[in-house]
Amino acid sequence: MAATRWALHPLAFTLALLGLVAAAAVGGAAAGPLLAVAAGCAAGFANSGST
Amino acid sequence: MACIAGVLGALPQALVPAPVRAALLGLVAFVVLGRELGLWRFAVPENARLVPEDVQHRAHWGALQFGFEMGTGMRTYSPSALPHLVLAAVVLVVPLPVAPLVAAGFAIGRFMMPVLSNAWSDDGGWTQVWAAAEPVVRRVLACVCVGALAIATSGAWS
Repeated sequence: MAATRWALHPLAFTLALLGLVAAAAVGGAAAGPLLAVAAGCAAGFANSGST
Repeated sequence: MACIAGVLGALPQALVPAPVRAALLGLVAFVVLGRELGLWRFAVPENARLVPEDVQHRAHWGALQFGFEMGTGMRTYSPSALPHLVLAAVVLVVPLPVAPLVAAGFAIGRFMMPVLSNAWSDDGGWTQVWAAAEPVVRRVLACVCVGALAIATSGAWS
């Protein structure tokens, strides 16, 4: 139950995005599309309010 | 929006040297990052209107219109400057074929907030969770967005 709560926590999603970017950083040119999605995703999540 | 910006960005991307465009984006990213980290404050362009509830009851396309306006953020407040940074990136450095991916990511980000909120509980507890986490989340999101753009601009998109 605690794991589910943590998975739904906004910080978990944010840290997952951070991990994605960190992983993509070592991917070179192939990571371009992934970085594009990650940048857009961070902007979209930040653009949302509490709901 | 991203596709329009991508098409408009074809002109500066064709005419302005890549280092100049990267420097311009770096300047915008610096200003936005400082704002998101709370180092300075300034207002960002926003529509500043909530989508009226009756929109979803209009004719057959009401729900679609509500979803479009809410999902794209075109008719809402903007608590963050990251969308403006991403838009600048699409105009200045993001290759046109990649622009739809930025838009898809934005849509996923917008989508995740109600998904997480609804999955959390029905008692409004999410609001408290978000309020407690927001200061940290916003700072990390800013680092994620700026970091992703910086890495891609310096390597994958250059």
